[in-house]
Amino acid sequence: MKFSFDGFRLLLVHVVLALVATAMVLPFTWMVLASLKKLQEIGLESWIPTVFQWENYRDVFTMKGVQFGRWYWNSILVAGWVTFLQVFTSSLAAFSFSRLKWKGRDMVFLLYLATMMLPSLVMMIPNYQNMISLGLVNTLQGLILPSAFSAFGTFLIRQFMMNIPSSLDEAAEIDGASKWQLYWTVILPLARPAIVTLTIFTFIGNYNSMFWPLVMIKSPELYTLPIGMLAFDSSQGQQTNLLMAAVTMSVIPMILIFLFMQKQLVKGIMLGGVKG
Amino acid sequence: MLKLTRRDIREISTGIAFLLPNIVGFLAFTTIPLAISLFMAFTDWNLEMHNMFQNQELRSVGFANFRKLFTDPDFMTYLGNTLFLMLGIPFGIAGSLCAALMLNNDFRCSRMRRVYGIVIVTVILIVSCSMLILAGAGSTAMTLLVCGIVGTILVLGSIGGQTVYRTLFYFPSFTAGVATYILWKKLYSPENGPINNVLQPVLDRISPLAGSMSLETAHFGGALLIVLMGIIYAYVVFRLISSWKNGETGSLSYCIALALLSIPLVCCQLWSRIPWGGALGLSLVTLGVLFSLLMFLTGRDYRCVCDCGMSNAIVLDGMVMVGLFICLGLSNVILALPTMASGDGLTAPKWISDYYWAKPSLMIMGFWAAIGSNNMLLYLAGLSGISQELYEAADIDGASPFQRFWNVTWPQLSNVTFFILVMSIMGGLQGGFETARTMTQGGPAGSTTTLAYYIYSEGFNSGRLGYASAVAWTLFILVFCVTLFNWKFGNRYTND
Amino acid sequence: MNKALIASLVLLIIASAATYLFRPETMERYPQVEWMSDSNPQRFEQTELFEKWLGEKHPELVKRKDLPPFGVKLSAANNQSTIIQAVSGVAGDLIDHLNVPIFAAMGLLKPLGADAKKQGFDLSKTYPNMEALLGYEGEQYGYPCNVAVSSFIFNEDTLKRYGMRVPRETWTPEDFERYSKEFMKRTNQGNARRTIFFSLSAESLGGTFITIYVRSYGIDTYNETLTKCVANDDRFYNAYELLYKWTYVDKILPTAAEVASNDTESGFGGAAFSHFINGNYAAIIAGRWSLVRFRELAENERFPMSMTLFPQGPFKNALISARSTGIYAGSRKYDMAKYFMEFLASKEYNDYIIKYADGLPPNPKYAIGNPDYLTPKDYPNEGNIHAKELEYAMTYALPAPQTPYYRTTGTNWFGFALSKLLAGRATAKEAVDEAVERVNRGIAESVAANDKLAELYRRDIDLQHKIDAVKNTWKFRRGKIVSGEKIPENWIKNPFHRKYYTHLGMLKGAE
Repeated sequence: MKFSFDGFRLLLVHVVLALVATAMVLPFTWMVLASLKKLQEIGLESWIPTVFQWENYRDVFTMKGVQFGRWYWNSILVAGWVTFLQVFTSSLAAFSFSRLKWKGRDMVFLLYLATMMLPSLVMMIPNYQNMISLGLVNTLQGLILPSAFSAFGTFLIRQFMMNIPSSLDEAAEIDGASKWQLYWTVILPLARPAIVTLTIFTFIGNYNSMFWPLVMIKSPELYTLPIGMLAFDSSQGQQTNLLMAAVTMSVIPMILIFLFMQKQLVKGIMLGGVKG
Repeated sequence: MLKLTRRDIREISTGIAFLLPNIVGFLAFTTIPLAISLFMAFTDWNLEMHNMFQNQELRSVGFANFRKLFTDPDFMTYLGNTLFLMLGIPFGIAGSLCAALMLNNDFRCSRMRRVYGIVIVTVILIVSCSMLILAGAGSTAMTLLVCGIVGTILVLGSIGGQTVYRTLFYFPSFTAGVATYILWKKLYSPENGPINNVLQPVLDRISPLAGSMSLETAHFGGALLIVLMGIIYAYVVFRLISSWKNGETGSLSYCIALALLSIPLVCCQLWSRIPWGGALGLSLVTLGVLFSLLMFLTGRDYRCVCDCGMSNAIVLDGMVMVGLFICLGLSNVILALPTMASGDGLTAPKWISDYYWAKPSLMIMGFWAAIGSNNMLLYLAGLSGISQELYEAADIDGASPFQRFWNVTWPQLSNVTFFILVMSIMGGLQGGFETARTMTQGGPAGSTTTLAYYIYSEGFNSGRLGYASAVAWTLFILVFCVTLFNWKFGNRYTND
Repeated sequence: MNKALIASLVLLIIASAATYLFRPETMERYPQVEWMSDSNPQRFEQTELFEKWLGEKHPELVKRKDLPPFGVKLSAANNQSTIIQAVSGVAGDLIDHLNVPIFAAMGLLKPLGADAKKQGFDLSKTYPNMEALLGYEGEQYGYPCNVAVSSFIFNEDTLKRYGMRVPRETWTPEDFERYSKEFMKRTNQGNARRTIFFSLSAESLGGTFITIYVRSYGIDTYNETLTKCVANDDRFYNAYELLYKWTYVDKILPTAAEVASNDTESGFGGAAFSHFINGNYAAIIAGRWSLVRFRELAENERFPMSMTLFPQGPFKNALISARSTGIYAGSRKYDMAKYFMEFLASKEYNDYIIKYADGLPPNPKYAIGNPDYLTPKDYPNEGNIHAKELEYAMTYALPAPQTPYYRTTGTNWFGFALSKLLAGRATAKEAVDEAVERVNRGIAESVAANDKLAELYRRDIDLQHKIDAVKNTWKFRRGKIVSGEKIPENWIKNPFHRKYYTHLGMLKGAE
């Protein structure tokens, strides 16, 4: 008796889950199908294109005023640099905060923690003034630098490094390793889960970031994808099929990262969230 | 005096050396800007006058920026918009929790049963599809498409279990950004967007029905909803009182909860189109307050700290409050339905291009992204942390599934819920920039301008940097209050 | 882990180096002046035309036979407000879609006076009454790329179908009401849902209609010296109330809901243009520029059109607007950029605008008496549009109200007032008064904040007092001025009042 009831319940759960999942996927389905339509078919009730217009994807790259390829490249370049710098500097700082003992350490760390809850909006305006005086407005360097140093990343990696047993440090010290060697050969490899999590979050966060590029960048050849898409939408957004093709392509890197890194990502959120 | 030995200095210098790359950037791009920003908030810094081509003297204006902000009706409107959009948060949290609860089912089972499950699924699919087609559900290609998607997901889900669903649920929040906002903008397109393409035929079918509804029926329906509001209010207040008496809810929590619950009923006075709606609301609130006073006077059986049960009070009663608001809104809609439908028939909303619909549209989109967000994963982690023994004990007591949830799961998850709520509120206060910039430009007529977007447009469109900084710092103070609240009550709760 | 870090660093360095090597500047074969404009495909053609023109017209600049001396690079897609780019020092050499007075007041534009005279793109080479659009404090800072006078354009086929005739060229609001009522009666009898309309909705008529209406009765949004918003006047309330009445009482204008439920297609020019073509709207509000869209139609789909002024009171006027370009004060290529300004006034550019019907050509010299302009051979259906719009621009046209003491940012309060009125959230008086209050508060704020502006403001306020004193001497009989002193021309900053007082005969030469 119990068996069949349980089976029925499971089936029901499956059906509900599948329906909700469908609701999650439907917008994306429309997006892909619309990107394959002809422009005249966009407003029709049927979602399915009569002829699949694969050349829409090619046309996005050759449109005048839309330098899609360059935007793609810029986005990945900027997100790559920010991620690298953030992971590197944060792991160094976290190493200092967790594995080294020095006077005043905890005070400095508290200062870091305190700034974590500041709304980033407060910093935006003076940072923009900063960039004007440094002459970095409208450059990619100006996009990379302010986001390259984060308190959150330091915090995340430090929490993880605190849990690495300290016997390792002692062993390394006996071997005569310097602090740098300790960091580079022992601690950094062990902190891998935290670093991978930080990498994914930083990369995605930056790939999607819109506020700072919007403020900083003026030349179309320096746009990143989010603001490029914004410009595309406002200047030639009535070409819905091409716009949707562009949207689809801009989501693809995220899909790839998501599918390949999902397990680590889920682990990372639980690591960062529950303890934080 | 602090005395540093040579060893200390060596240690500090190594420590700082490792810190250096980070701290230089940190000082340059966080600490110093912060100081400048605070200074700017008290000046008349304006790009119109202080720029590369014109450099007038920077004047200190004291608190004038802040004074202007509080006398300016715009700021209050935009703060109101921000708070309104935050009403979606309880829905998002509830959605995440439901998703997590369903995903937490044990999908692992023997191979035989899995095959058996797939067979059943397939049969059900085929039957329901053919029934839909037989019933002539619209354009068959579309029906097939949707059925196909549901079917594929079902089959995949019964093979892959939790992972498949979790992936699909998590997807919208992971990709949330300009790309998906542009996508939703197109979905919401009032003229021939896919949403209205589906909605309009449905409305066309309903409108004769609604149009033929007599005014009396509409009035009755609206009144029924108002009465329902009253009943819900009375019931929840009753529950509150009893939990206060049992010592599960502290006095402070009680007051906050009562205040939250009373807001919609007071609003009845302003918004309800039922003539006696306002009066009913007010009298119920008065009764509630009177009862509470009476109860405070008679004392209680168990004493407890005044902020005990705070998270429950806010989370649950916040949700009830939103529910009451929805009842109120629905009652007004029903009242107006016959008149709306009698003219040109019901038309689908213009979504983000309509003054009144713009905010709900953004909330619907937010809900879509919020169900499977990080919050769901946090809930999943929380659920896996609940020990099985608690459930077994509940089973022995013969608890129904609902009771199991209410007495075991919910209290055990309360710290996760509180954490999520605080984080969402902080995010909500600072949020709304990207959607506003991508989808609505803060419009129509400023109805989707949040504080974040206001700061942006004041600072980077008008160039009034001083004033924008003042707004940013006011926002900071709001966020800081939430953080303080979190420190005060969050920690206690997590330590419980 | 470590290897991954090092590998990603190497990759990033290589990628950055590649980006640096292939940055667009290094790919250019000759110098480029940057033109910040929109991404209309025609802009690309215009830059090509410029390079050709430059080589032919200025052979002294040519250094290498096979290359033009320099080119114009279009910098099209723009998200950010141009003002912020300009004050941060990163705007392009040439700025298009410019609000000249605002930019000039902030010191962001190069004055063009001397070079404009020398190279032939000064104010005398464009339409009259354009100083307010192109200059600031008596100095020229810009030149138009094209010009438009918003007017009523009728689809004669649609009118004929319902047995109506094109209204007279000068028609009053009462005429408009009568025409619309008649039209709506004939078209939508017995239909459950109205789909055919005489003209656009109140929101689309909106600002243009109100400005023209109140000006025709002798008042403008701002006073003579542009120091105060004076729209809290019965004539303004009437204009707003008329729009409300026409929408909800007489039901001759489509409501917002009707517009929404009718719209099925959008594209260049919006859904209204498609409706105009299909005969759902008998009239649209546009200029000659809209012909670009209608010329896309196949020959047998084209329909005869004609143009009239807006319905208005006794003082005839129309609204002129221009897409203007100026040279950025931070530009290091002024000497090249000024040739582009010269190009805008040249025959080649103006012929291009004439040929593609992209608005009125900036230099009227090439349109007046030019049969290619007045009666294009391939498009006989365009009727009197070309001749009429040129005539309006030369005679009736005035720029839209604008004051240097108030910079609209974000919300247009008068538009906001209209939508509030139409949504039934305020009466006309309340809505307009709120807007006036907002604008005047804005003026007070910006004057208080800016010393330089405050100085000019005090000067203008003094003038305003003097003007008011002179106006007090005027004696009226039956609404006509019978005696009084005249106002010196140079006291008046508002182009409307200058023209209106000339019309009344109450203006005298500079004092």
